Amino acid sequence: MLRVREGDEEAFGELVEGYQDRVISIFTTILGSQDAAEDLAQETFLRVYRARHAYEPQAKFSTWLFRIANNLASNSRRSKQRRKEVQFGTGESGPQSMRIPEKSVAEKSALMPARQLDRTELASVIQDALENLNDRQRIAVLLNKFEEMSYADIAETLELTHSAVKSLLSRARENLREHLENYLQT
Amino acid sequence: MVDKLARLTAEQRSNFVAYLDGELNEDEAQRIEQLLAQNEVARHDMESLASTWEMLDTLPRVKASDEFTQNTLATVKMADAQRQWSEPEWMTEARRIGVRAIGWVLVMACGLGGYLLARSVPPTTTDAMIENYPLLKNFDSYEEVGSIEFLQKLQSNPEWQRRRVEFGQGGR
Repeated sequence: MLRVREGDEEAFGELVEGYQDRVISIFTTILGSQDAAEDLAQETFLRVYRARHAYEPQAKFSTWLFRIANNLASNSRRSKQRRKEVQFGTGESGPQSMRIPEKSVAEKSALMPARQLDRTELASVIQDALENLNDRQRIAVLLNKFEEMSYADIAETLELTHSAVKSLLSRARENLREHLENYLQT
Repeated sequence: MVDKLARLTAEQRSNFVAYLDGELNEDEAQRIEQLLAQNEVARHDMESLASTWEMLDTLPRVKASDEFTQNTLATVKMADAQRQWSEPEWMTEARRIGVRAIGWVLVMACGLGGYLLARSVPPTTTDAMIENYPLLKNFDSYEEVGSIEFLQKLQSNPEWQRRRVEFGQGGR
């Protein structure tokens, strides 16, 4: 990132390649669509490039990157929520989703509660459980789980205190447990 | 399940996740381990927290499309080029200073115009009173005089002239 700050374009290309999968994965989980995730990821890297002169080497690049990503994700979800409110009752479908509709999974589970869900169905159930978290809980869980960020790093990314992150993750994981406990294999 | 959970304090429950994440200090971790050793409910809680956490590994990890990097670099270059082709910085600064200067000139012109306008306006009753204040101040005395003819006669009276000089009164 220091090389990018000095104007090294090749370094920026390496940066994008190094972080693109991680950023797109998190966005895909939040937004439910890889296309939307890639658009937002591209916007994230564009903002990183524009703000490169302001980068301070004291801060970890990943916390800075995911802070930008989190802001964009929040804005995107707020816009999506506003569009849903406007489209209510028109019958228009939302963005393409990679999730299996919740109803069909619940129906199947209700008919055969002991049936083990296949991987795709389970992913859909987990996605629904994540949807039940609020935005902050969700991003904290994803950063903790998939970026293996410490509480201190998550605190810096989300601009919260360490104890606030601890509470946030505790509540989030309790919520996830409530939703997923029935699907735990015995 | 809710009754069993009630036996754990809120702080203990909030520390379970931090314990699993290795975020507790040594003392706090030891307290949790003691609790786990003594309390079956706590052990079950911890186990289910850990298991549901592992379920998240089921989520597919997405890889960027093949053209993502190239598209991103192209977008960044285009955005940069657009910024350079737009108005150069010096022109933006010059325009900003120019607008401010024009603003100040207008303010001063309005102030000057207002002053000149105020001066050209016919005097009001108050202005007339201010201008004639010396007369108004002694109006009661002047009223007692009676007429101008009397004053003219007085003016031409030698005795009156002598007394005026004597008492050191000036005037016409």
